[in-house]
Amino acid sequence: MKTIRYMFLIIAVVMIPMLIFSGCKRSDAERKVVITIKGSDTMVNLSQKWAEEFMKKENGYTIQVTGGGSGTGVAALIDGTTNIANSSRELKEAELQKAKDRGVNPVVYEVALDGIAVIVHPSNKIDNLTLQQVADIFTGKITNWKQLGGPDMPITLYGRENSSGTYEFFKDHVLGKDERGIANDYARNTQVLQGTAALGEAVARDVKAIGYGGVGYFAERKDVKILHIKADEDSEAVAPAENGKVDFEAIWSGRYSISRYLYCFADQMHVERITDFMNFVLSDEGQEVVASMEYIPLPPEKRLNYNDK
Amino acid sequence: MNTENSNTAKTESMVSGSGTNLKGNQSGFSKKISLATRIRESLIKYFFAVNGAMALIFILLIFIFLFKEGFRAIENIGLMEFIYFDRPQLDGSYETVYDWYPTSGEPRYSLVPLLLGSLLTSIPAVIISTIFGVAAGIYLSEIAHPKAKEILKPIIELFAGIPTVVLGFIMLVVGASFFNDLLHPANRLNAFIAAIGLSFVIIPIIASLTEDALHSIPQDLRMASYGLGATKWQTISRVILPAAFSGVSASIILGFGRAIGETMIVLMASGNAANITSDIFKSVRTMTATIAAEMGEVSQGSDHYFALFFIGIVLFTITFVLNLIAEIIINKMRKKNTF
Repeated sequence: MKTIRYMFLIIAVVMIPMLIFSGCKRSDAERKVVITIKGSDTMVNLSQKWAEEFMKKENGYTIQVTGGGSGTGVAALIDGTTNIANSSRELKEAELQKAKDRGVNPVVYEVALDGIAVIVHPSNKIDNLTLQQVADIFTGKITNWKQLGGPDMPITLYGRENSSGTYEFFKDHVLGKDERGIANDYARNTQVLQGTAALGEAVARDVKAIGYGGVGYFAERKDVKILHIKADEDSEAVAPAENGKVDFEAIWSGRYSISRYLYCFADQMHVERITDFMNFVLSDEGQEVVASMEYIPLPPEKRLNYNDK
Repeated sequence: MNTENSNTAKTESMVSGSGTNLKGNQSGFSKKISLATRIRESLIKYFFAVNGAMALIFILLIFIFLFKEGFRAIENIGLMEFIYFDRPQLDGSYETVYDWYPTSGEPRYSLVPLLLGSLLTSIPAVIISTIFGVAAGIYLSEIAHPKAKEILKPIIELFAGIPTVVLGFIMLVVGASFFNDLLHPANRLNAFIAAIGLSFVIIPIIASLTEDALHSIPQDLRMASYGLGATKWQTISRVILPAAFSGVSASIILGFGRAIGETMIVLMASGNAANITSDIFKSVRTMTATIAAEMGEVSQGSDHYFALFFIGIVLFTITFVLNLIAEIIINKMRKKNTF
């Protein structure tokens, strides 16, 4: 009996504050401006971090972030079920048309950049490849380092799981299309690793390896080598990071070609609801968050001064 | 297995015994038991009954959910697409491919590479585990001093309790490098590495079940064998093992079921390339690892999502059949060994 009484006591001690606090939260939320963000899975963590930092600064906001993919986000914006749509691509023609039909006028914000580095083992003698060569390697047309002027050694491919944004982006951007006009797939023998961290570890331990992933993650690592990429035979070979630092200039200017903008879309009609948040995102402070999350911040001329709002 | 039989018999008698006790108390000593105690007793009884029923209900719900979602895949994708895909070529002909590319511009859902991957990791794992597990079981049951057995058996069973993610991580970081330097395989992460990792989980299962099976062989058989002048090894290999054959094979089948269903180790150590290969030193992708890796970010309600549930059905069917076979063998053996 005694133990049962203790159990009740413990339950009461745990439950009562929970009830009280959850009550508080609810009444607070009613007074706050709620912003919902939906879309690109690549940007979920980034948006989450922006939301956290923003809510720390401004008391009057509650921001909810969900993923689901760029397409899902845009569809939700057109349906009016989200305030901001995250997207790792521009709006498609069909989406613009659909938005127009529904009376939605999308406002486009470029909020960050994403750069993908191609990495090899540090002992690898090869320093630069053309985009075409990278595509041939990952689609399985080139299978030996000898074909690229290296030692006679098979190439081991490392990649990401097929639902990741990086997988999708690298495929669309680098691998190209086959003669039937259908996007090429990664070679069947591409090994799949869970996350950029695991991929870095695997490449660092395998002399035959080649892999890809966010620049920010690999820039400081000594145990992998970031390759210089040439857009075509004649152009200069550019690496997205030099001497342990991400080369923002190369990505901003487009000299390094495997990069893309990340976007936020909003409805023109309800833009004042999100203006403060977007100003924060585009400020130096918001862009520091971008760098801390291993993405590429915007060039200075595209940033806003948050305090001027 | 005799011991297990008598155990269940004992628990049954205990259950019925407590039942009669309770009734006896109510009729005979009802004045001494307060109303509150009686209510509490009956509440506790219902509490356990509800818990038992809940387990059944949950299993049924999981069944229904898995099959409901999985069969949508057959509707949306088609059963044959899970085996092969006819890829149209420029000249109008078709090339038959067996690929797992669910998010491609030309989605392909063949389970052939995944099935191959599952077999290529679990069969070597079971072979390795059978050798070591059966040997360990024989040692525990027939050779080890009772005191040594008392210490060793819990240790072996403790082995089965190591979190598989820890084993996977060890294989990924230490095991893969060790075997890479030793054997120079085609891929650093490969089916063999995963099989070694799986063995750590399956050896204790096979060892423990083999020990049970051997232990249930009546002492008379051993005595008769020794009486005929057989040595210890002759007794084990010619008398005990054949007598316990069904029990040992059931343990191996159960181990195989576990190997097919194991996720974390293969996810981390097998490299996850959907190769179609019979080379054990190449990277492979198993059914379990595919579900684990892709379910997290797949968009709900897409063909890919339902396809993952379909893999779940295939996996479930395989392990269900394996467990069923093992159960039938064990039951038969129980009847046979009850002299």
